[in-house]
Amino acid sequence: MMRRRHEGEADEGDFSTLQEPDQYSENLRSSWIRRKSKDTEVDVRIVDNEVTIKLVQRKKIDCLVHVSHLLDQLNLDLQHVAGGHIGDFCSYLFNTKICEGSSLYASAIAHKLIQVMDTSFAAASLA
Amino acid sequence: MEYQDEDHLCFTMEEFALATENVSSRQRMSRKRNYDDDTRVYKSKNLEIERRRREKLSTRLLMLRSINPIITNMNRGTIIVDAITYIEKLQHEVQRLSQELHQLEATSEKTAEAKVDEIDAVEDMKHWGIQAEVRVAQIDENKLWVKIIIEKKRGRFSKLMEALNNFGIELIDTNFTTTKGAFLITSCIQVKDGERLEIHQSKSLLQEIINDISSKSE
Repeated sequence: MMRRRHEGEADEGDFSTLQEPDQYSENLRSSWIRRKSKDTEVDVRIVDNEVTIKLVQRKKIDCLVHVSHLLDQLNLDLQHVAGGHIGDFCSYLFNTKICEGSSLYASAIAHKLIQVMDTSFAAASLA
Repeated sequence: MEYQDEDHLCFTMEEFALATENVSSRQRMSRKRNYDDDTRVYKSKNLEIERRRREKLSTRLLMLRSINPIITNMNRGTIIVDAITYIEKLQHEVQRLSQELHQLEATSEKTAEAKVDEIDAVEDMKHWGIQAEVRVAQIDENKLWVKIIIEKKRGRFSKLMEALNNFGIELIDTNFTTTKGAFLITSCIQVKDGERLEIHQSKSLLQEIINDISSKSE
């Protein structure tokens, strides 16, 4: 990094370098997948033991109910949820943590989410 | 005159001989590249290429044989057959392992429940001076702003969502976070049918739902 020399500053120390942060000694486990069905779009990212899920869906069913149940089934500890209705769609972002002893993959989470949303969607449309 | 003609003829013959000699020497020069210096044997370019191709093929077959642990014979045909059988064996192994992985995933979901460390949420909340509460404010005739603080316990959020859904309450925009042993939920709510919401009624209903969830989980 280069910093400007101020007036009256000595010649010494014109340039100060920022040290590079220590590289991670351990390799972080990470995976990412995006799945799409007719009415649902799911984006799942896993970094180490943290899972971020982005869900966009047509506003016909209360998806929070179904998603929260599924997260309990998958042993994902819910940390943060943000989102709501935007026009004809509902969009949510879920931050979760994988519980100890559980092994999950982004593809499995995305597949199950799509499955749950589509089945509940079909049930709602029949009703 | 005759002598002159003869001289002319001789000259032309000499010229012809010289010309043919030049041509033959040029041909010899061009062909020299295909001769071996010691043996003076003519080499065919096609044979060279063929030899190189065979060498490449044999070295690659040897490489294939060195990779493959199953060796029955040294013939070219058997090397390829052995390679095919080995690849098929590996494919079966991949299928078997992927099936095992799926089974492990299914079982780990059940076994992980026992390993989950439940935080003593009540103690944590007391330590930080956080109290369970329900706050409701009117936004519109049929819209309310809600703030809920409850103890952090697994499955509570899903139970709360289910209860609200059963009462026909819809969450328009939600913000949920966990901090210091507590769940903090802030949201705009409205009734699905578009009915008018009363603050006091809604607050007491939410309080009932939360108390019910707390008693069930304990």
